[in-house]
Amino acid sequence: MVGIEDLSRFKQVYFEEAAEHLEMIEESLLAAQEGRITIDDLHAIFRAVHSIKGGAGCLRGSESAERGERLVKFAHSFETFLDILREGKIEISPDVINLMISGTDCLSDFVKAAQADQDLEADYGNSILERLEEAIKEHGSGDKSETKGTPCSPEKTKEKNPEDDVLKIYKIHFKTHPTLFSTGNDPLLIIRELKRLGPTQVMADINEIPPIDMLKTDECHLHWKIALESSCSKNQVKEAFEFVDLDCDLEIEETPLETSPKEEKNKESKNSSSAKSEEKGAQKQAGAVSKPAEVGVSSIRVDLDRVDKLVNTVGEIVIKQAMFAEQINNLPEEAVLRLEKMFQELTQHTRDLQESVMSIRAQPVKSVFSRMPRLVRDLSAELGKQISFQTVGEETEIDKTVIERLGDPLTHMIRNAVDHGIEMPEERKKQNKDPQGTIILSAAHRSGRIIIELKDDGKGIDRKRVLAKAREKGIIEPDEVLADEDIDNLIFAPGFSTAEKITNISGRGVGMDVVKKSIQGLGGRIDVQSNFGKGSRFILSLPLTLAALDGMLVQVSDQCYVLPLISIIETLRPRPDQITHLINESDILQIRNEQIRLVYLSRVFGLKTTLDDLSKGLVVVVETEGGMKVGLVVDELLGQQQVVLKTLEANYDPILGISAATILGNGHVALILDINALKNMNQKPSNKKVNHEKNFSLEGGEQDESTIDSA
Amino acid sequence: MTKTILTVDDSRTIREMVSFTLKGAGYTVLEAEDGEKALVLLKDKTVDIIITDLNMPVMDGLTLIKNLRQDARFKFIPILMLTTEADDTKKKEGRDAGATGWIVKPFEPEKLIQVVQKVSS
Repeated sequence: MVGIEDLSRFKQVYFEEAAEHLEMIEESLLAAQEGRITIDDLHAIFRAVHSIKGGAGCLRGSESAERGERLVKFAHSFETFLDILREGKIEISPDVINLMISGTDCLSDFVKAAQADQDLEADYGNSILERLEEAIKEHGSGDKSETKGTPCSPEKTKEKNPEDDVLKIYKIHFKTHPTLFSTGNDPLLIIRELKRLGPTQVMADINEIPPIDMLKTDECHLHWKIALESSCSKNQVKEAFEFVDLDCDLEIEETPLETSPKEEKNKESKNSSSAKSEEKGAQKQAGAVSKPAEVGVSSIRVDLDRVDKLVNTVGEIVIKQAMFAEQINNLPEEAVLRLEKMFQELTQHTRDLQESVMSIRAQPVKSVFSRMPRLVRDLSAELGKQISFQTVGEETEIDKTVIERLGDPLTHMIRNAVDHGIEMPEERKKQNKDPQGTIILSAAHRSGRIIIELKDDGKGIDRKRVLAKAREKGIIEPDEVLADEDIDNLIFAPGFSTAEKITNISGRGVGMDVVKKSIQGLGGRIDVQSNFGKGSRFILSLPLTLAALDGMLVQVSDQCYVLPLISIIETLRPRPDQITHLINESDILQIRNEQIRLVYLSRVFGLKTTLDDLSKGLVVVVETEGGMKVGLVVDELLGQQQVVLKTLEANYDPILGISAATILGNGHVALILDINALKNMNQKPSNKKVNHEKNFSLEGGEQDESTIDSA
Repeated sequence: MTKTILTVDDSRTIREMVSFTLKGAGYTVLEAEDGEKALVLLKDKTVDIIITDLNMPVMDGLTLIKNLRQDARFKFIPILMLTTEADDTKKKEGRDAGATGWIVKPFEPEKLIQVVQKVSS
């Protein structure tokens, strides 16, 4: 980027040009003394002085800076004087001509001094300057002389105002006049300027746009209401509008945010707050503008209801299409060939349609990511840590419904990374690490899902401590042997915490079980990879939308059910010796030192089972949100399919074990299973009663919310 | 895609400084000495932004701007005035003629670039 010092290379050119100008002025003034001066001459002299003043910018960045300033100051007054002169406000008397000659001489001396790197006396030219100023005052128009009093000087950096660091909400009402376009201004560029100051929420008001047959396309009839969250000053906000202030009505209302970050923290430390409520506090303060809508180059506002309806209808089309495909298979050969081709094209169109519709609700993760840098800054400052925070892939788009629920878990994870991940600078130095830690938050699309990664170069997971704590809390057996990745995943177990002290920041230390629950509630998965001493990497995998699900179809007796693919860990056909029957308890499957409770789906749903011998059936090992493994006994696996979720809530009371439904290609309805509820539904008779009697309290076991929201 | 800027000023020094500054920021820069030469140049060259001085011989800045705004090609193009005065009268005059904004001279290179970016997409 070119800086002011770089312009000093133009000194040579400048002095050459200045000399030419001065020569021309002198000639004209000589002629003037002999009575020959025209208005054109005056214009020319004016422009010459104007140029000498304008070009003096090249002196600013050099050692001649001060001389340059004096030159500019003098030239400014001279120029103003000449301006009045050429407008005919002063008569061109011999006195005036003499003043011009003196002025030119003086200016010439300033230029030569700058060129020779010499300084003139401090009061050099002051007498002439005074005379020029007098004439200006006398004949110049009022406001001109006032504002021309101070020639443009290099902008001083604005002094830091204590106000500046306080986060404020600016409510801006930007009402354009129709003439705004005629100066080549673009309101969207102005809004872009505002966005540089902080997160914004922009709403366009299109009510003033005339009907199309009366619309003149070179007129602007749009108004905007903008909410801006920023610590900048009101003047900085006004600056964005400086070129259009005559072409719009502008109202700016400034309100500080309810509590400043410091106050919020103090409040929290007084209560014994759980991590959740702390998050909410941080969310409120850091994300008061919580649901920003993007303003594209051309866009319209649509009711969310309409979009949802659209999504629904497309879902239906997808289902019908699958049914068509089935029917086609049943037709005679020749018809099949013709139809198949047409059908393929239709499928493609539908796929495109579905993508377009889904993308309507898609928003860049930026809206969730944008509040994180500040969070990291504030937290690390409080803790005395040095942390560099980067975001990658902010433009990656996810469905609105997912984004809205991503904020809390992400915030929690980042707080953990800052609080427990990155070490204090001295500690890092001891380990030959850069005292400044790095946290990277990234988002990307990968094989139809969104992958969000939170990476840090902190101290990583201390597996010894994790194991010890897990044993202490009874989460694992004392003699259980676990692989490294399994130990790392213990941090997601409910009730787990290795924080030595409960800090104000993250409350009860690592609340990763809460995070995992949230992510799974979105139909996602979370994994951690860690290197002790080097850092950790959390990987979240989320579906692109909550309206569809990657499912595994399973056959149980004569029914077909759908299991969320994401919950499936493995499927196996057990050997008889792996199964232990416990009286009055569920059967247990033993694999690799793990004991997994078996749930017979046929018994849970009251179906006649054709399989008596378990070794002819399949056990699908699934993981609940709480991290518990359960083995679901099914007859067969029918294959994977992406299914469109249809809610049952409209027509049925909630049914334990079922979260939603879908329609398969063969036209049959398939129920989508709720793993969390299933884990407690073993074959005990009392549980069978549960489903028939609408009694939803289970003995023992947690009542969990459904895993997936239906469309 | 790089943008092209036309700088119009009768001062050689100014033209060179503007050109140097904006080239350093990645723009292509064309030069013209006065309003008339600018219009001739624009007959067959396309530019994205125009920066013009107000005081020039032959055709001054305000006349140039007014002429440009009559031409369909330049009706909405960003046109910046490079002016030594930033008083309200001059600003209004410029705006009435159709100027998008202004930069005060002597200018600071960073400020010039900033204003150019502010008015262009």
